[in-house]
Amino acid sequence: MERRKAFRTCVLLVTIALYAWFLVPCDAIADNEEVQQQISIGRFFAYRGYQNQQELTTKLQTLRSELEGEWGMSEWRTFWHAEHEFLIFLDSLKYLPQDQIELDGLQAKLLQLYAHLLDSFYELDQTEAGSSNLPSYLEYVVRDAVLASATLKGMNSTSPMLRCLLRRADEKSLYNPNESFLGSVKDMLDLEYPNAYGISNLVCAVWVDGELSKLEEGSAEEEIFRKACRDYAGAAADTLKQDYSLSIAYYLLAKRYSADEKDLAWTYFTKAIDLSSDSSAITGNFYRQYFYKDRFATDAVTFLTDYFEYLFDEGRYTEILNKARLLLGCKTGDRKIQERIVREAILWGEKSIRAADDSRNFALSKELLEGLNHFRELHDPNL
Amino acid sequence: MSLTTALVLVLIAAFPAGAQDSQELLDLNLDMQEYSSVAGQFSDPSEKIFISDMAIQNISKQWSIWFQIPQTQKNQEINDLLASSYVHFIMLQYKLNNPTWVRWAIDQLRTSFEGYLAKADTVSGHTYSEELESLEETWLYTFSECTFWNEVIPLKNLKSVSLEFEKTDAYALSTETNYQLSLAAYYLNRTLRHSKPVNFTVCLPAGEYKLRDDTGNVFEKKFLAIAKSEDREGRHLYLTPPLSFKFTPIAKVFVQADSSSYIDTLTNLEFQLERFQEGVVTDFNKVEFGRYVFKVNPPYQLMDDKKKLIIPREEFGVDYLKQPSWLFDKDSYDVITIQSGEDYIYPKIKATVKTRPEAGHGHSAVASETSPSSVASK
Repeated sequence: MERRKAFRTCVLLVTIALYAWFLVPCDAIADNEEVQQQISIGRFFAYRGYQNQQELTTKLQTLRSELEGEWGMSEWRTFWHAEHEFLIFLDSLKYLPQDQIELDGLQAKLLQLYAHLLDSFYELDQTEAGSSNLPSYLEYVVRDAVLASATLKGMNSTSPMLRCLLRRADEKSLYNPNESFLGSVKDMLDLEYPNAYGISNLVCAVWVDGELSKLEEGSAEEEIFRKACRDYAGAAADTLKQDYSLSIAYYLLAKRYSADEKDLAWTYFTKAIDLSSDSSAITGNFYRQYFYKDRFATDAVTFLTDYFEYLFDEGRYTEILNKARLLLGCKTGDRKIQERIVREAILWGEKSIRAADDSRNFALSKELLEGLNHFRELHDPNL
Repeated sequence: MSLTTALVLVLIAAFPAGAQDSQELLDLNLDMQEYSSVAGQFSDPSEKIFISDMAIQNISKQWSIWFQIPQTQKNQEINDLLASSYVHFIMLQYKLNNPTWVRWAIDQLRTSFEGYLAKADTVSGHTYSEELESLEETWLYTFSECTFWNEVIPLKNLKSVSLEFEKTDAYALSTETNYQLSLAAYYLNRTLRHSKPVNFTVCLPAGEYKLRDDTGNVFEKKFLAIAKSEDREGRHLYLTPPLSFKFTPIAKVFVQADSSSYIDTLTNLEFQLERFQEGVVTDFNKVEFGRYVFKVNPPYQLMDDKKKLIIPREEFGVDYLKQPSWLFDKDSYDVITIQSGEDYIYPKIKATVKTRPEAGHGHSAVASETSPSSVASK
């Protein structure tokens, strides 16, 4: 009897030990410590990190004292500590001129984060990984690496690191390729690899642009976001190679210059439409939903009313019809878009003729009328 | 995924033991291939250093996983996977123009995975051994291989060592040379922060150098680095903290006829102090701690011929002598302990001439009546 009791105790102890052994690594990742501040990706990029650095520093000090004071601190608290250090370091570099920046320290911290993350991929099995905190931690590391690559010139070689992380994430299905931030990075990596500088700037521009659309018009933050989007998209346009990715950069530039630099915005719109593709020809999952030729053309036509009014006010009457003709030549394939361009051209063409007549410039009036007739025929072929 | 990798994956799947380690090794191998495939596309030194660091982190991790796999589970496939990563690592560092890490990886490969070297590269048809030899002959040996002996730095726990190589035989260095010197210094400083004494090789473009220490922790060194293709021996430099002493060469001259003796001070031409494996000392006012060979020119003669280990007493003293050295056998040296910063007089020199030979006049007589004690107190 006693032997049976001892055997039972022994089995119980072994079971507890096995249970604990299996649970410890899972707990290390599954504990839902929300140490990180909640901030949207677009806002993070618009401010080039966290707005409140003081809060980040305080958080870092708390983490540091916890790390020093307690035994058996979770692996993830160590991770957060490294991540906060990285962000504070990165923030300190943004105030330095590019030629004075020493990247050794920052790169060492990024490698530390990378090593932490790679290890964690092997602590969980396939089913646990998706429901753990691993996907969000992965997103933070990719986000931080993207910000560093976009803002500092010497960080271009982060691209293989990003590709290796996303390869593992793909294998474990850790993100949604159609909707997520990681999906946007993956698609652009496939297009522009290994130019991390261009890729990161474009990704930042796309997410800031998305956030900007959510802001109230005329809000205090709008100008900050608009400038950030312009800067990122401009930097991306300088180094990207593929037509499609360039078209996205130009489109964002066009959108974000349309309020105050109308000629520039027009140039970018035409470049974007010229280089873009129909959504059916785009291979990536993320960008094809938001960035394709017809959408660029639709936005360009929406911009057209403002732009033609601006040209009219400036007395640049002949340009109105020329630009309308140029936009028609882009062949967007959408009949409604074509009709709208024609209508706008006729409206502003007629106004221009009246203005030329009023100023007794009959030669110009005649020239405009000849141009306008082409659009009238397009509008009503029976004329 | 290449055919070889796919084959390795299938073979690994057939061995369930250590499957997670195998999967991690395979993933890290794929990462290394990824790094290697783009390594040549970066031009900025910071970018190159970052990709090199990623690869170093990767290969260290792979070695650590492999090392922890029990010997019984280390099958051929797992060994080949790591060896293949070393080959990719070598090609990556070659693309980054980083000879020191290429030297390191070739040595590792030859030491631990010699069998893999006999295999043929499926792309070129040559064996890996042939490919590596060709790489050495055509590229690696154009650099000088300098061996650094490092024992005292970890012993003194000098963590904040920051050394730089200054090329003293050229005024304006190209961006590429500057980059290579940064890489060499980066490797050197990284290795010096290890807690254990090691000797290691750093590859440098041939030329004259000064090893400078901004932190003041290590003795500065001037040395000549000769390309390995010309000098198979390379350079050997013993790194020590900057503890120096003055060395005053004194000859003890015996007069054969009456056996009475007197002391004479030798000039640099008559007495040579050679730092073991490094070269002749020219500045006798700043002689560093370490291993020496003494030489005198005729008619003078050394009374002992053993190599000397000179140790500043208050810095290392008895404790240092008690510990075995990782780099050399202390028993095979005459140990001389001195007070650092003080004069040291070498007394064990004799001559069989009555008078001191004058410069340019053979052995003409200039006898001195100075006593040993009076010279020593100078």
